Amino acid sequence: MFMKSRSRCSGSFLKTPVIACLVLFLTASLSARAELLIRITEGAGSAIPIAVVPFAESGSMPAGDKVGSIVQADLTMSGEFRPLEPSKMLSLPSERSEVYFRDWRMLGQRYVLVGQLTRNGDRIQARYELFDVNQEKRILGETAAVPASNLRSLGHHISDRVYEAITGAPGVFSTKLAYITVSGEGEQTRYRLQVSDVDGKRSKVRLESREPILSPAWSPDGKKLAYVSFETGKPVIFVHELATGERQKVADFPGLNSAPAWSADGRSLLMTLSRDGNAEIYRMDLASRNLTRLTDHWAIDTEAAWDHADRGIYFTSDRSGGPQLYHMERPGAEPRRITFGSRYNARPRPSPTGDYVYYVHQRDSAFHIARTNLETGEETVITRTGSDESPSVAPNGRLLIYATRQNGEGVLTVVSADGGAAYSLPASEGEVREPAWGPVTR
Amino acid sequence: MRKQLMAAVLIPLGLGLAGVAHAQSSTPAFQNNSSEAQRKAGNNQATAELFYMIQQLQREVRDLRGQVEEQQHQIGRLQQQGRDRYVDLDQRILELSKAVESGASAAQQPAAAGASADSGRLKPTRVYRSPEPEEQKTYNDIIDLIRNKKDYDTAITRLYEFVDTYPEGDLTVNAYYWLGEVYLAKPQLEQARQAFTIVATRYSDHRKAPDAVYKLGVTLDRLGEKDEARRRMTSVVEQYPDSGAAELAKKYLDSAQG
Repeated sequence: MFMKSRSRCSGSFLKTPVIACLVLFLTASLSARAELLIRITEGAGSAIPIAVVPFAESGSMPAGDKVGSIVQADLTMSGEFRPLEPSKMLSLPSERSEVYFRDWRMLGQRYVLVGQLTRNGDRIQARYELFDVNQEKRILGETAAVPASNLRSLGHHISDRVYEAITGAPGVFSTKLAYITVSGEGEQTRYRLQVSDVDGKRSKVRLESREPILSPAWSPDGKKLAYVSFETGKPVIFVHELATGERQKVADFPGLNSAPAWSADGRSLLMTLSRDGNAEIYRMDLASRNLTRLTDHWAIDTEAAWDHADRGIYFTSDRSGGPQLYHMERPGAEPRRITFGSRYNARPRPSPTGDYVYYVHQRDSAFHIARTNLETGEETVITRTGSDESPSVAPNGRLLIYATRQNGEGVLTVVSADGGAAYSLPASEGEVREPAWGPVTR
Repeated sequence: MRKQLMAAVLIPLGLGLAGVAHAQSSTPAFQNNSSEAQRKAGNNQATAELFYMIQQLQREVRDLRGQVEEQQHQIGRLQQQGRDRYVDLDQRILELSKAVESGASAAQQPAAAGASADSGRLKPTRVYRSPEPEEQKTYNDIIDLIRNKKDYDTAITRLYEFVDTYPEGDLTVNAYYWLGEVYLAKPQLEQARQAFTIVATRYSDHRKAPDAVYKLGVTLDRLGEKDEARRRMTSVVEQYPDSGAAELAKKYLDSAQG
């Protein structure tokens, strides 16, 4: 009963008690920095061929991954590109005059990215150009500079620019992921809230606790995380300022405090509270801490998220027997049910463009991530794994991250929003779960 | 969570029952009852039973709610499917009949014109372009939509398409007139007023004009603009004294006065 109440307290309709997940596949050693390793499991058939030529370098460069290979990895990860291996390139140009389009056409490439890096004191400057091979035209030509210690950010930035120039959608390679890792056993069990790049690199532990941490949620400016921590023995919602490490207890009411979600202006949080006796959804104004109750039903209402227009909310409710998704057009409106395909649909996450909502969906005793087209009501299951939870949509709406199990270990998997390409991010040790995709910050 | 819920329900329920018990204890029947302890035990049992009943009812309500939501959803889908099928079928029939027509010789008399809503007796002073066979056919289809199938929404769309495709013809005026009729039937009175006004002002010499002015009067009457309505009716009687519409307008004026 205790475990059951805990999983309920997380504010999510978890199908397995939290604790049960922890016992499996734990490693004895403890590391404060459990890195995520990237493992590409599937490529998209219609990926665009692009040649990312290793960048020319002048001056001493920091050790570690080259900018070119970071860009190449990013583009591969998106599932929308198929970069050419550098060993197959006929030449390694670094500027326009050295690019022979005929050669690249022969190699079947649609685009070529060339560039050069120059060391300038403690900064590194990049000049890069993107060419359309068929039209023999330059479609991007830019410079960017970063501190020498920040070569990864430069790589991700260039990937974003290339992605946007070709697909028209903003790239998300410079965004961050937040997730929870679990390692150790019994007394040694540690929960860590971590933040990393989208490729799992440069992960940092932001909070470590002996008690569960759940439901991280990014503020729209990417500077804060809200989450639920059990460190005081009961679920409490904190807001954590990433730059300073400063934490604020924002919801510590009797009963459960769970499932925080930010409004687009970052001024208020949606949350599930049972202070009035039953799990209901509230909006808290963060400056005044004033609460507004948004739902009123004796069934459980939880896991709220603002819709893309920031006017209404999606949430999970079991008012019709099992968990189903509802949309409340504006606070106070009669909630309208939007999922009908099965007895279990939970944890809604609307796409930023407002055309889809993603959620956990049960079919034949397996849990998948599915999405519903909000205009046609058509439901599509988009994951092929079978114990999937916690979907989180990338800010450009093109990718989706979720937690699942692979060979018995808890991993994060990224798929394209239509279910095409996929890569997974296993923790180098222990379990990883509850991913939250951060916003695009400029 | 269940426990919490239970407690939340149980406490107010217990209080409520205690209140009831109090009220009852003032009645003689209850006083006749035996010891305090027995009474309490009875209360507890009643509370438990009530609680159990509420739980059962909640479960039942949830299931029913689920069924209602699902059936609502299914009905919505069926309605949509029905509409889609109809439009699809209509499209196919139209294409088929077009193919049949173009196969046959184009020497088809627009004899069907009589079947349309022509009641005008006035001779047009301006010569309107007579319809092409295909134009006539499209027109007849639309009238069929209105008269027999009562599919007003589709008819409205098709009427707009018709006046776009075949402008400034004899049937164009009819189409505007029918647009007014359909809007009046829906009723979307503002749109009806506009459509009838087009016929009444732009095509005042057309045989449909008397009917249109009369119907404009009816529309205005329904919009509550009684004076304006009476003015139109009077103008029908004065401008088109021999028309059927004038008879109707007279009736309106008589009843309005009476």
